Amino acid sequence: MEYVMTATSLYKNYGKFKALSGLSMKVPKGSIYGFVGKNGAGKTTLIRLICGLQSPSLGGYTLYGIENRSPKIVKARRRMGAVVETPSIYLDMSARENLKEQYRVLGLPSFDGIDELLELVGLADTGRKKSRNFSLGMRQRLGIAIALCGNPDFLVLDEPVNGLDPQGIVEIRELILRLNREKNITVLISSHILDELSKLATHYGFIDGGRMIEEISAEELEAACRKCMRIEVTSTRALALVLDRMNIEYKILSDSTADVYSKLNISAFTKALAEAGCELISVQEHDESLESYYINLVGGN
Amino acid sequence: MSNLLSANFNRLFKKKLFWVLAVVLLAYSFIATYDNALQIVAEPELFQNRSPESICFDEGPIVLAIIIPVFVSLFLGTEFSDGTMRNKIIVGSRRGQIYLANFITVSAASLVFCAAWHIGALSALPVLGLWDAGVFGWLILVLKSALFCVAFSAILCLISHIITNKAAVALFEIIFALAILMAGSYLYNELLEPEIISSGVTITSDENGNNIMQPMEPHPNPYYVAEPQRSVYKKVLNTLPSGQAILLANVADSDSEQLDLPLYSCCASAAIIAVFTAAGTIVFRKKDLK
Repeated sequence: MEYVMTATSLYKNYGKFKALSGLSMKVPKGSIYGFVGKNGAGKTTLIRLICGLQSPSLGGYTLYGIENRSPKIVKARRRMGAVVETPSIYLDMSARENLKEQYRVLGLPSFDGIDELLELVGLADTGRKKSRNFSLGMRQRLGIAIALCGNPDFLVLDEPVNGLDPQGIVEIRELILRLNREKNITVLISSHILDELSKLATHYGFIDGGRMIEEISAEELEAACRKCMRIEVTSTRALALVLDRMNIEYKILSDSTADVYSKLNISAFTKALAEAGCELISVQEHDESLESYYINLVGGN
Repeated sequence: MSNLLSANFNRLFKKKLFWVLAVVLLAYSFIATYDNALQIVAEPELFQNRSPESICFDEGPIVLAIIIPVFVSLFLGTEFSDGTMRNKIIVGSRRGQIYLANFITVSAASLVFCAAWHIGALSALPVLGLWDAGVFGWLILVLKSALFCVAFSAILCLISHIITNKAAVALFEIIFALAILMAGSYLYNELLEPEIISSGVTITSDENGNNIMQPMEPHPNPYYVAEPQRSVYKKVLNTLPSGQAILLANVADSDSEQLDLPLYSCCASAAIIAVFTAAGTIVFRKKDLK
């Protein structure tokens, strides 16, 4: 698999505080990588490092295979755009002027593409309105438009839906999906709004205490989180015999509990269990969400 | 770097504050200088020591020493407070180049302010004629004032890249400007103390109780700054941008002229520009940004 960004044993200390403690991660090309962690887990610190705003205390990362210490990293950064925390925009300029300013920074030969960008983020009709008069959602979209100047193929968004109203959240989600699907832009999104992230991400990285706890694809996560019946019985040995006979997929969790991944005819199932000398104690529908998966992963701390 | 300069200058020219300050300086300089020139012509006996140079510079350098920190702190502070500095770094602009582009931009703005003052001060020309020092002498003074502006900008640029809070940096730079102006003023006044006090009277009473005033004998001034301290004070005064501002403001004063070390102050300004820009580039390269 080709990776846009990799990090190996990254450390970042602020005085005695360790914001990152040996974090390693890989962002596959073409993915929407959901970077999940609670406040203070180190999400923004990692983003600041890969954006070049700060330097790692130890360890390193690569962008398009180029090491962060290599002078060529500057060229690799030309291929990325980012919105770190709050959108970085000149409040005394209009949306168009802000984009022109970024075009100048990038040294682009003409302002072609600005109309398309404004259209893409839904700010085409803002005219001369100063961005200080924009709503939070509009500012966020302008921030993304600035990040898209220069046609990057890696977009880093730090908490892009924080503080947005439901309409704003839907707009940003649709924008990210369009960018990923239509322009094939790899997106790294940090968030702790897991429900929203689960509607977007193709890959997840779970971070806690400055360390990567687990990296998993959306398919793997779906498999791990699929709906099941959690059954408590007096003997899982007898349960296994019955389920094998009924040709039902299951997973034994302990001597008394198991997850069953098909619908059951409860009457027939209870009768079969009784014949095998096993008692059914309880049946619960179990639907593990991204949230509960994450909580289980980090130990609910 | 040309990309960064193009972006910075575009922002500078769009900044209302820049144009407002330049126009206010131009108008103030024009009116103040013209008014002073008219007064000199109307009452020449009151302004015997006032030459065209003195009224051209007068308050100018002091006003510049206040306006430049206000502008630099707000212009560069915006980069950090709006977070737009990040947009430059994220897309791969080198920090050294970002710093240099910022320094060049605020220096250019300072020079525009300086030029606005000088252009406004030309209003004295039709009234008083050419400067006593001639055009060449005037150009030297213009060069000195330009160097003082750029040196001051170099110091302020470094501060603006260290303190990234817009309000804090504006407050700090204004206080800093006032503090070094006070320091410069103190040194200047100390150095102006005469070595010998020759004027003054002593008052004694005769046997009838009448006061008799007698001229005092010349005697040494206890506040006179003697060597080697004097040389140090003079060099510090000619090094500090505020000291240079005060010397420029009093350029036609014969006492002040003795304190002026034109070549030294030009070299000091050049050294300040080089040292502070190099230090700023190094500090900014290593600075963690949010």
